[in-house]
Amino acid sequence: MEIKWAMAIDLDRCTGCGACVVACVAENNIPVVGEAEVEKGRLMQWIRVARYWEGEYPEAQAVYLPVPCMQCERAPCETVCPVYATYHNEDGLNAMVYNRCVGTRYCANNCPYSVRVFNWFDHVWEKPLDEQLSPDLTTRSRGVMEKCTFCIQRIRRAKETAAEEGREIRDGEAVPACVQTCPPGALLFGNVADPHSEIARKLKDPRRFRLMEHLGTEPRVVYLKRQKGAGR
Amino acid sequence: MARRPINAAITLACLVLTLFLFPCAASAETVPQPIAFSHRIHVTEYKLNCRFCHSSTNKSQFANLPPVEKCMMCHRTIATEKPEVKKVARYWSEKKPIPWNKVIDVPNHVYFPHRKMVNAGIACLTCHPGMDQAGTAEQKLEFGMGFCMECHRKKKVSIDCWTCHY
Amino acid sequence: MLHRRQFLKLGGATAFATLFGGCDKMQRTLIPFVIPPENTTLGEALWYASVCGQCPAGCGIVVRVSEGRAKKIEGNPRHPVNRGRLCARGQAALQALYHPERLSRPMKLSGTRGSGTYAPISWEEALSLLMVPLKKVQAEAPASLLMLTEPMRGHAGLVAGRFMKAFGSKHRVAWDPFGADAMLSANAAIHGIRDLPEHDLANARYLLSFSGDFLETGISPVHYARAYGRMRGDRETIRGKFVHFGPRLSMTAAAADLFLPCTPGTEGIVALGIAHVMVRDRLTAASAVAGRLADDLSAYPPEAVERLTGVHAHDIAAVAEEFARNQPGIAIPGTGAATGPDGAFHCAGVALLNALAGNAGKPGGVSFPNRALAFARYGSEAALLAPAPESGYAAMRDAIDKMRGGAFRIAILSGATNPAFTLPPSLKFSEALSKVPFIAAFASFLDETTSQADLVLPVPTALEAWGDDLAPVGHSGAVTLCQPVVVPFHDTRSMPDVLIAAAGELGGKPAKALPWGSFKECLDKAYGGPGGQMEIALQRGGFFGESSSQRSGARTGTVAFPKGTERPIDGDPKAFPLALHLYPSVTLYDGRGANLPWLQEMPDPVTTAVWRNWVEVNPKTAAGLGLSEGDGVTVTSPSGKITAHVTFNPGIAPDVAAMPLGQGHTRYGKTANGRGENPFALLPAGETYALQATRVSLTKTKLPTRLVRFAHPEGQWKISNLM
Repeated sequence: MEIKWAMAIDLDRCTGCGACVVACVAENNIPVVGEAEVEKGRLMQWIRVARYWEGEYPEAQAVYLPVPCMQCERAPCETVCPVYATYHNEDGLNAMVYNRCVGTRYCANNCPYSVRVFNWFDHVWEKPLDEQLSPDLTTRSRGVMEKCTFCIQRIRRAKETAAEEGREIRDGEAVPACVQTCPPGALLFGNVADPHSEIARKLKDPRRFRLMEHLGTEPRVVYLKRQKGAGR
Repeated sequence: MARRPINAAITLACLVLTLFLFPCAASAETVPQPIAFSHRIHVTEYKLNCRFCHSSTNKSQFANLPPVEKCMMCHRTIATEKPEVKKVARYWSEKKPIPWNKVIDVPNHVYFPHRKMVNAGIACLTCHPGMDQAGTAEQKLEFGMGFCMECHRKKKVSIDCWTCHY
Repeated sequence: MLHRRQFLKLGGATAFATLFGGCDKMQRTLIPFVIPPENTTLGEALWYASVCGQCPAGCGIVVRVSEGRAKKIEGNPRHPVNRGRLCARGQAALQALYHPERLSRPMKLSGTRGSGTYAPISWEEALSLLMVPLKKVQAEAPASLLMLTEPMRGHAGLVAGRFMKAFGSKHRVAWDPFGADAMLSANAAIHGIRDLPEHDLANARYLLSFSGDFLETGISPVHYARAYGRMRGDRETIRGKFVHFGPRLSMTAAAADLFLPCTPGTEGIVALGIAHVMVRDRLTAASAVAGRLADDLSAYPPEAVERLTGVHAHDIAAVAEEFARNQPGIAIPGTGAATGPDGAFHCAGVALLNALAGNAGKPGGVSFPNRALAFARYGSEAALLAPAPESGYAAMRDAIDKMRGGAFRIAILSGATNPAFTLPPSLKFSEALSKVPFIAAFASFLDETTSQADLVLPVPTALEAWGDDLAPVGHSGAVTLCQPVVVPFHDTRSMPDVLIAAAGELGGKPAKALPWGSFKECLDKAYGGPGGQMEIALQRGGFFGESSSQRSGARTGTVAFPKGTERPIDGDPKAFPLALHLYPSVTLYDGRGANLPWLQEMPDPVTTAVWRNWVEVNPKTAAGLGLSEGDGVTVTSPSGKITAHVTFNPGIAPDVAAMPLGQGHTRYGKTANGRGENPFALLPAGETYALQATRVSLTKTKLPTRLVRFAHPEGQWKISNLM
């Protein structure tokens, strides 16, 4: 079966709690950079929960917008990499190969969503905090770009299990850490190429939109608008 | 006198080269091990299956070294008088693990699941040639990416970078 | 990984060398097992079920363990409280397990008391240091033993309770700064049950929240967040509407369809205004209740309520009508409403709406699951295993007075609630504690409280210990089991284990009360042990679905009308123009998470600030005070004075200054210390425990630090595009 991974983010359910952020940090060996580095814009988190607000008291309103890598179908980052460290893979994901990256940072510069983060240092995990590091993926070294992978190691694990059992991968079997943990169930992940998958159904919702659609990047992360009122 | 600087340059180049080549030469030698284990005796003479000792090759990402308990399954009664076997028995009686030195390694940025290869029917000797005739473990093949790719292409399995590098 | 910078620097020579491969490799040793552990394959992860210990919600967790090390925590999909979901704080428990500053062995004081200098000792020595004074006190004056812990549930509570009783001391104090005292007494008055209700959000059509924080730090945030998501999106034709009243646009308020700001400390009055309209316009299903309350409610017409609360009368009327017509609907009081000086009144006002709507015991309404049932076989001791989630403030004040008077000769401390940090300084907890001749602390970290101890006994974290638990809400009667998911990382012993050992050594009554060899044996006896039911339950994470989720119907007949006591909050409005609104930090909770780097670096949902404390004010208020974003200010209350950075919140009432609790540690390790000052220090020591109890003034102050925020690097959006 063909696989086209996609994520749906229902803003009507998102509460902005940040569980996805810590899930991602725990799953993907993401370093803590400290206050001074955050101030320089070098926070390493692969997903952020942007908070927008508008209006003045008493009519002020806030909306949360979780932003992982959009895994664009026409990714602006891919075309500028001189060493093909970032490319489009067979499952429709925007892959990042650390051992190819030479750290030009052209990709981050070209990403309209600002989701790529760069290792300015060899980050250290003070012992014994390094005991927590997941053996399933590389801890990146200095000079390497990184970004959300839709938890490729989790996808890979699910694919391996399915292959060993001689079957296709089931809907909901492969989920990134953020989707797995999301308390209100705002995040949904699946294979859009499978017409019976939950995500395929969800993406038919008329509330759907994609970030900066006018750029023609065709993101694989689809948002569903916040709703108003009691009906639907 | 005029050639002196060139001489110096050549000497320097040689120095640099030897500096980098020297450790390579060392790695081509057999890695010293605490016990002179013979793969040949166990595999070729006694016809033990590789997986008898490296039991998780088909279950795990890692091949895993056998626990001391596994050695003692046989060596409680077999060849107990041999000096190398006595060493094993000493580790066992002291309840200490055997500190083997690592011979075969893939870099950190490679995800290599033994399980996938073994379950796909790849013979152990494909990647570890001559192991059945070896003493302590030695690696005759260098694992460059080309080596992996050759097989992946031939068997028409994924050559997507993200299959192995993430 | 290959280091690319070095690669470029060394240039060709290195490239040449790498052709030969492996040159830069160091000799590495592979250590096989002597005897392999059962059921493990190296390289393959295993999942173990347990219970989260990061807040009192009691979510079920599963932990991924590779090579004997915990790698990741996820929610337990079978657990009735959280169904596979988990919040940021719960997932960060891994960092507590592998924290560099965790206490790894017993220690005795080596410097002066409070200096924090300790010498490591063996467990044998530690236990003898504990037993000598214990034996002496038991013989001479058993009542002079004080046990001061966080609320303990399950058999740990039973062990502690029985130990104290058999020892002969009734001074067992459990302290929780976010205890639900007000909600408990309100529910007793309105529903006739002194407990927390289950709110069936998933099936509700309308949700009223009064300073609610149910999505962030309330009683069970993951449980409520999951139900909230279902309320919004799981039904084909219904989307539950959510209206929030409160003084501040919090994370929870941001989720609301309609956020109606009210003056702090008037939440209950807003609720009574809504109740007034419901009764006046005959919109209530429970007409009997309505009839009895009509006279009392006549004092709360919307216009009068508007004057008191700042919420427009027409909004109150409209919300009342919508609430009544869109049943089942639920009204929830939050920490902000419950922790004012008049919290019980506000919570009762809110609970009254549920009674009037007649939704008690119905789907999409309020119900009270029978907590007592899970531990009914313990009879009168059941309250030790399933205690009501109270703060224990009265007992704490009493204990402080007695400590100061020299009534205690031994204090045993335990738990994460850190009274020296979370109590108003004017109660002088630390000073009183220093009057106790011998202090033993069970702890994983030195903090403001435990660093005053003479003897420190390291305990396993929730990921390394045996235990059982009954969650405060969402449990459906299910008991969760807690097991060590990894081999304890340090030389630790759990408090119940030490108490059981101590009881054995004391002999007599204590030994008879705790007749087990270890805490595990106690649990085995209770749950059928290995080979029995317990083994299966441990794999699943607890006894789910087996216990009947019987609900005791809420009483609706006699409703006591809530009476406000009109306790004013501290401070003259002229000198202290802003009401201080303190709220539990979304990331750090009551401060226990402040030593975990992941939580410090997670941007706060509302302000996007990291690593530091702040004070939120309305931009207009700030302009009036000449303050701009990020400025340092001194926050002064009649009881104390701290500094913080100003940050704007356009959705906060203009006469309010809000601060998150949790930062401001001085003795909680290098991650937590020096991240701003402790807002608990602004609180007065009142009769009842109240977080919304004082007014403050702000004055511009130069601070050497800066507030770092992580907003939206991709640029600003108009939120109308997102809605």
